[in-house]
Amino acid sequence: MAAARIDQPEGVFEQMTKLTDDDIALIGEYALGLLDENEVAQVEARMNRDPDLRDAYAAWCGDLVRLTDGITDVPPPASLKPAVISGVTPAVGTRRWFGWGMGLAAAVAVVMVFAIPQFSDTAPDLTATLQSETTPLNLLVAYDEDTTNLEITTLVGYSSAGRSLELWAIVGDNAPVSLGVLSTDTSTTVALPQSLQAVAGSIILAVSDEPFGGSVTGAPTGDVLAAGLLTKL
Amino acid sequence: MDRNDIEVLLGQVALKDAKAFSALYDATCAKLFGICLRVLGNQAQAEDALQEIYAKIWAKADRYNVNGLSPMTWLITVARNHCIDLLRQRKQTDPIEDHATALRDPSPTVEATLIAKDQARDVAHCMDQLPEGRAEAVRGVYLLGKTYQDLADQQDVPLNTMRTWLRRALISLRECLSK
Repeated sequence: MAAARIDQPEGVFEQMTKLTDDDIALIGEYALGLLDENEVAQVEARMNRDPDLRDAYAAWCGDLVRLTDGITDVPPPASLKPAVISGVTPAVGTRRWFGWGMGLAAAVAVVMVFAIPQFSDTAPDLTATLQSETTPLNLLVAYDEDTTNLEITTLVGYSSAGRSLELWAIVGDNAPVSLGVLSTDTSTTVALPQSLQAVAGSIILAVSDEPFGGSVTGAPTGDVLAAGLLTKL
Repeated sequence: MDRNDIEVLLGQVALKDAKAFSALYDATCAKLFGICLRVLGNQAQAEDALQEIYAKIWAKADRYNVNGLSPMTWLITVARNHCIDLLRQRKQTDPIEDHATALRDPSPTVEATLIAKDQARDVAHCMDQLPEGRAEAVRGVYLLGKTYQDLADQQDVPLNTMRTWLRRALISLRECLSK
């Protein structure tokens, strides 16, 4: 019976002295899922009060998960990740690139009701989520007022052969301003043009599907895959 | 990605950080999907299960360390428990599926061979010390969701006897693991 609290590896049972064999077995049965509803409720009520029982539970879980050590890792199909991500983050409507005013006003209305995911490192001043309904594409954009940079993080990427994704900034009824073609990296940093910095909080960001290398006309030509309002956290 | 990285990511996921959630998924999905496939034995069900498991992880990340579990232990426990719940529901609602499961694991011996290489050294060592059949019972419960009734039927003993055996096995196992 080990009572010493030295640097023991995870799963090694500490503080055994206070627990009876009955409790050790009971918590093991609980961790294995062998108890009926009433027993589970009783064990959980006791665990809430008794740190030793919680330790016993943690020890059982730590040891039992070792039974999965020999199970081969299998990467799930790539198509599953968009479903997982969109299952927990809000979707933004996707629309054809028709009529800037009407379509985007609706997009903004949709966007604003959604919670904006938080960033944990240096908090950005403004953020946007851009998620496509017709493709897996899912982007987070963070704007830092000090550096005037937009950081675009690809949560789930999307590319089709011979095409590029182009990022646009739209303010009011003005023509979209290209912010460049998105790189295929996880993270892209783009400087926000000076003319847009003062109105950063009212920019709609949109990603369109363009010929490889980006639109040659200076205006978007393909489908809008995703759009979102750059807004305060 | 080590234990600390996973812990940091989980802390960020608890704050609903979608970027961290994406990174956590990338770091852990192959492990958890492997477990889903093994426990459920069905690709489509494993895919559905994985999606539900990550939804739980997203929802419950703020409470992961309430019971003092390490990050990977918590993630695997969430995955395993979810799959076992699905297996047991499947048995209740679909006796034919139950039959299929029974065919998949026809005897303790085959089951033991299937799972034999699945454990780490310490746990394996201590499992080896248990009386014959008990280690298989513990593995069968953990990895295949067997109930006391399943085990009793399988070993052809009364349910209470099975429970007494398994509880004794757990006590011996704990004693061995604490050495």
